[in-house]
Amino acid sequence: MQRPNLELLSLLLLLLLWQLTAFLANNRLLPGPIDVARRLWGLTVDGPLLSDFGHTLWRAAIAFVASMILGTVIGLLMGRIRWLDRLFAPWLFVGYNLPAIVIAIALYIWLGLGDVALILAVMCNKMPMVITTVRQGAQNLSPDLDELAVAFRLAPARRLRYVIAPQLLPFVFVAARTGLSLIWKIVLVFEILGSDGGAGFRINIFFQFFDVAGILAYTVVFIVIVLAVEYGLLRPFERQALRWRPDPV
Amino acid sequence: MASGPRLIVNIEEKRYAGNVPVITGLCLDIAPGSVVALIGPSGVGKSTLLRIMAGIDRRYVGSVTIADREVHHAPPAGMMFQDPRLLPWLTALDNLKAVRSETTDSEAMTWLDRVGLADAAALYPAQLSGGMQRRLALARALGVNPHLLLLDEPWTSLDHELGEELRNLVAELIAGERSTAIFVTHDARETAGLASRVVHLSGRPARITERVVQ
Repeated sequence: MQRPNLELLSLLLLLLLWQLTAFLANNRLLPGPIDVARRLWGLTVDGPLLSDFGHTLWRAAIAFVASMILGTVIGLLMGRIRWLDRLFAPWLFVGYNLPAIVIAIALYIWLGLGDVALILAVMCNKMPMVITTVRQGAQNLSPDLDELAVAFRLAPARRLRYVIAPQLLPFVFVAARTGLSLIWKIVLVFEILGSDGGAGFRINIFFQFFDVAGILAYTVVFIVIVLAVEYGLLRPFERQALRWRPDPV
Repeated sequence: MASGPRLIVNIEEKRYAGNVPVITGLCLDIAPGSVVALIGPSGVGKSTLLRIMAGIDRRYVGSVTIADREVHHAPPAGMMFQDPRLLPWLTALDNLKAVRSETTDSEAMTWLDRVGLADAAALYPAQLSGGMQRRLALARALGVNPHLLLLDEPWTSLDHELGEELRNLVAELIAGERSTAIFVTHDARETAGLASRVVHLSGRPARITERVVQ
């Protein structure tokens, strides 16, 4: 007998509850899913939704990729070279605990209200988390496999590809996954704070007009994008990269 | 046909962490193409000596030369560790190719075939039995085309039949390639018919107390 699709059922239940609450409240500040869907359609066809999300996605993608590459390299070096770790660990701690908004405001003042300042601000917020996660992975690399690499005189590139990178990959995935959710939030806040376009910028305008349907329409798009990245990109890539792992019993 | 290199080991002192001396005043001159068994009780320093010969352990006073080249500058030896030490994310075939960039698919397949693992080429280490993993580790050691083979208790923890099978295989391959080979064992019976020389390590710190030429 086929098992019921509980995930789909859960979504339908949520929509039903939402519609019912909106119907009972009967207030334009709490639109139901049907109103939000209508607004979403309008913003997509005649409005700025596609262009806004194009801006935001581009900023988030640049900040994400740059943070992951730089953070992974720095995390690997700090995890492998003890003096480097001791030298920069306090920087990492400070970076981890600096309020995101302070970094964004400072960069906006120094570099102006532009994409460069926004992307740098996002990177400054995300990189400490990537560095910390990858550093932890690098500190736990197998010494036995290090010996193997030495015994067979593996060249650095070969050693990185066959011995180090596969051990770090699970940590990189953790950093990517947590980082992705963090980046969305930061990009939106920084766009609200100072930018000339993007989803955050638009949500700020919706807020000023109390356009809750518009805000919720943009939220729905965010959820769809996050799910698409998780299930369409991250999970298949992770499954492929970690296919050697025995299936859990 | 060329034979394996001459190996000269001269260790004045090797200490473990905690400053405990483990080997002192050890000199060994191993002739090209000879097969040497290192035997001695557990913990005496046999594996440590093998790791020094492989260039893994550099923290000692003394010198090791392979064919007149300092060990760290010599080409890699074919090393088989006590545990299989395979790369779990690579298939059996790729485990052989990963340790030597020149190894082609067909060369790797030839080695897998010689250790009876041709059908397991596409399997990951976790899908292989313990005995198969050890055979794969042996194929990897042999697959780097070494003139020097270093085997650390290669038959330990294998059942008698498989151990005998691997021993015969190693004997055949060493004879064929005329490699210099050094293997560690704690069982003197394992040296019979394979080693041309048996070096006995004992004491603390370890010294060579017996040399037998067979």
